[in-house]
Amino acid sequence: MAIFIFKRVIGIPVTLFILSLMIFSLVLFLSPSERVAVFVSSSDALQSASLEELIERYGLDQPFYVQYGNWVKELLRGNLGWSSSARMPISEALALRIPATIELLFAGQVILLFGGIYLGTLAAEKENRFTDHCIRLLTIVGGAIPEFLVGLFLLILFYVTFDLLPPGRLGMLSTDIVNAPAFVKYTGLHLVDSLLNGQPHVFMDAFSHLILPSMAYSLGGLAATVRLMRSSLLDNLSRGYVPTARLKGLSNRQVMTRHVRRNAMLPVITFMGMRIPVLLSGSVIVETIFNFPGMGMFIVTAAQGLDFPAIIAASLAVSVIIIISNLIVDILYTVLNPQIRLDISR
Amino acid sequence: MEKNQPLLTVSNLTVSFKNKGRNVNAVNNLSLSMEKGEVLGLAGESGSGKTVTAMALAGLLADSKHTSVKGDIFFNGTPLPTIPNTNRFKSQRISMIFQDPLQSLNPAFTVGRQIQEVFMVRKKMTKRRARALSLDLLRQVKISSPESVAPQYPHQLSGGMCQRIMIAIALAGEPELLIADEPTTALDVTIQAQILQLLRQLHHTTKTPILLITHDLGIIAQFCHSLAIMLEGNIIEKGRVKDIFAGPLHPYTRGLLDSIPILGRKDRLKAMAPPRHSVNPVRGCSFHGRCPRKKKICEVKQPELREQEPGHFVRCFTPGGLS
Amino acid sequence: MKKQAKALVQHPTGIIGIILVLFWVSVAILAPMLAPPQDPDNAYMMVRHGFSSLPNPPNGQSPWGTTSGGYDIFYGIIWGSRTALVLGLVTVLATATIGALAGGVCAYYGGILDGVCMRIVDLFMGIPFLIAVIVMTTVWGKGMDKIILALIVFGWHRYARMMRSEVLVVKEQEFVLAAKNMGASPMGIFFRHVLPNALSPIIILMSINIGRMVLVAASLSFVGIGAEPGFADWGQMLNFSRNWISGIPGAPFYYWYTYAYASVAIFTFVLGWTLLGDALGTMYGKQEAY
Repeated sequence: MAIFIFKRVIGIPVTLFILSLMIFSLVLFLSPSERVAVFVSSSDALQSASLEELIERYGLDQPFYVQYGNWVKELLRGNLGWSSSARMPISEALALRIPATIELLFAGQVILLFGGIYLGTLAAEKENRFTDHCIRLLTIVGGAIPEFLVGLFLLILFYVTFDLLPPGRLGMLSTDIVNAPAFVKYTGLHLVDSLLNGQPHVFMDAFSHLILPSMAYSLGGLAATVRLMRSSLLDNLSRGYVPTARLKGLSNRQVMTRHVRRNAMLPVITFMGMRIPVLLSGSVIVETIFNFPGMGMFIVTAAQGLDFPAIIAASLAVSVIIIISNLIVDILYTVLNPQIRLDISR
Repeated sequence: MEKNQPLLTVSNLTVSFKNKGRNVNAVNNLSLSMEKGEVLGLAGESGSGKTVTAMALAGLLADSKHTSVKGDIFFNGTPLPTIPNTNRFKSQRISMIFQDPLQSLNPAFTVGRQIQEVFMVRKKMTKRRARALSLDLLRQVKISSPESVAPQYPHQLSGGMCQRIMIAIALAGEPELLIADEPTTALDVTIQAQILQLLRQLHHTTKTPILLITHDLGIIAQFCHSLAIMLEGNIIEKGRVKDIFAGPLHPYTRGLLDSIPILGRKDRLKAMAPPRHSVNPVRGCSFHGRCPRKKKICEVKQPELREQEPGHFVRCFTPGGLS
Repeated sequence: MKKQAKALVQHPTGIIGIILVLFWVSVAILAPMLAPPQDPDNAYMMVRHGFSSLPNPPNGQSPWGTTSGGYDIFYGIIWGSRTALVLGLVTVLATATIGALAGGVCAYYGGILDGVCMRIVDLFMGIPFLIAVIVMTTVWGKGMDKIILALIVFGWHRYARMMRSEVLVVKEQEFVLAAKNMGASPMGIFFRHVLPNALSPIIILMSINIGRMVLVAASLSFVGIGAEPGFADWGQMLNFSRNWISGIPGAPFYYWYTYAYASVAIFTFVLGWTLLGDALGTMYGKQEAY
């Protein structure tokens, strides 16, 4: 197990290197003046010197690999450049935005996993009966509606019509609490910080703001996990270990929950890993619709304002989020599947 | 409890599967009884309904849209429901081991945990107590280092080991009847012998009756007290093993025994006509198409199972080729 | 071929898919007649009725009303179908050609080439499509052509992966081995034997991807990054409507026309191609053709 995780972790720098190279090569499309902004850490620094001086200082007339080296050096020092659209250093902006997107990603994956397991089990238990057909219809329709239509629909339904779940990441009251100096930001994740600070109503507020956006962008994936879970359960129910478990005296429910479901979950976990990039793409849409200040919204604002340093840093941040969440999904998979765990560590 | 009461009585067991609107009887009005302490062999060609009978006895066949199970099963004098029933499974003293041991174990759990589970479900034992008992069981099925095998996963063990684990799981339920459905078919020849040896020893020490399903008459000759031979969902001959081997009464049994090679004998083995592959029920005796002693009546009427010699039953109009 | 067409029509979702696809294709073709442009040289720019910042409900001048900025909704929907169709067809044809060639060649020759190629494909599988397209269009600048280019750059790998697995199967089949032994050239074998056999899953993926590509482009315009302002594009029309969704106090659906038409248009267009692809998939026995 430990060996497996180690093997997965040492692959990460290689992937990161290739991705950072790809991302940095974007600056080749930029004019020198636009390129300077990628390196400068504050707007003051941008005005303090002439363009020529800055080009020379950051080696922008040097070959590509030297520029890349300089960029990485700045990155490692924590200097990601100055975001003109957010009007703050990019590192600060990311520290605010990344936790929001991670909260959303986590909520979306929870919906994919538990929604998939619950509805998939229901559909498999009622195979070819009314409930099963209803779930199938829901998954076909749910899978075909794009995120922004789902998002707009949910917004109209729950906010405009019933005024239940508002957009944004926090209500006004909770925002004041969170921004107060007494509130310690351990992780930046409101769900975690609110509990650590003993503010349960902030937790509830943050939670209620997550419901709509996470539902909107996981609906398409949910359709797939439900179908996967259903067919995987039916496949596992016909395996030889089921009669063995029955004969032990386990109830049908226990056979399902203790034995079958555990094995049937594996394809769903694999799918969750594959879905991470799709969810992050979706966060661009749902964060915009629900005014949820995460990476998606950050990228959109940066793109609208032609804020190149922010775009480049955000791409890198998104890559890191994907790599880490993939690692987590992989570990989850190996915990559930001893076969893989042992094959790899051997 | 009356001493001579049989352990298991099955009467008129009929299992039919519905396929594309057609009913196919896999087991047809089967009656069977087993004494306490007995090892009964159930033999027959593929598709003769051996496994379906076993599944029905263990209560694993669902009475559903596609399957119907009819008939009465008495175990120790009490009737057993023929549909899967959790309460029945929890208390039932019938354990079963299957043909493919690797498939019969859950790949996600250690084998130790899969044995413990029986104690925890049936006797509500604590995990620790169940663990100690499961290690005992592993020793009982001749696994030399239980502590190192228990934390392994099924796919890390050989087929023979997995079958031992299955036997341990079966024993954990303290069975009064152990059904072994071709327990050695999927294993190598040397492992087969070891598993059979293990079953024999277990029978010797615990006196647990065993219903051994196989198509290998050699195994039956070594291992069983009595024998029932199935053909197309029905028993056509049953009796003590030595009686049947010494004087088979049904032409099908005769054919089976004639096809066993015997060391030292030089004459050619006699081949039997292959089984028909059709789901249509046949009028008359189910063997008449392949029978060397076929008479007119065999095509019209199904013979009854009659006691031809004391304790030796046969379903044939011309038993032993005598009349 | 006739038999397959018949099977497709008998497939219940297939027939809905075909109807939707045919509907939008004919709307796109007949666009100049359905909604005559004011300026034929700039037909893709939406007709404007004034410059009012408030949306206008349907009236005699604009049958489906106008968005904020006075853009005619009916005109936008009709010409938007052309935008969608052209964008979908161009990107899908380009990505399918590039991807199928790359995957096919890699699988056919195998070895290091194949290994490297598949690593690249894996890398691309992990890149969030929409974010990548946003980043590319930001760096390259606005406009439909840039969007199409970005969609192609990040959309080819699915075809490569699919083509590769198809070729690996076909490659070992006897008629291909026979052709090889008879001295046929690799290119000849590829085009005569391998490609025709591997084509059906590619076509299924293409059908589904036309909807998917249009969706991504619409998402882009929806967040205000894609087409230039005023370009007839459904995503942009939804973008215009975003401020009007909450209606006015007491009448939440007051500005329904600003989003209703465009939503229905995008939904039916994408659904049509997806259902068609699904039906083709069941027909060819490839259930999981995503």
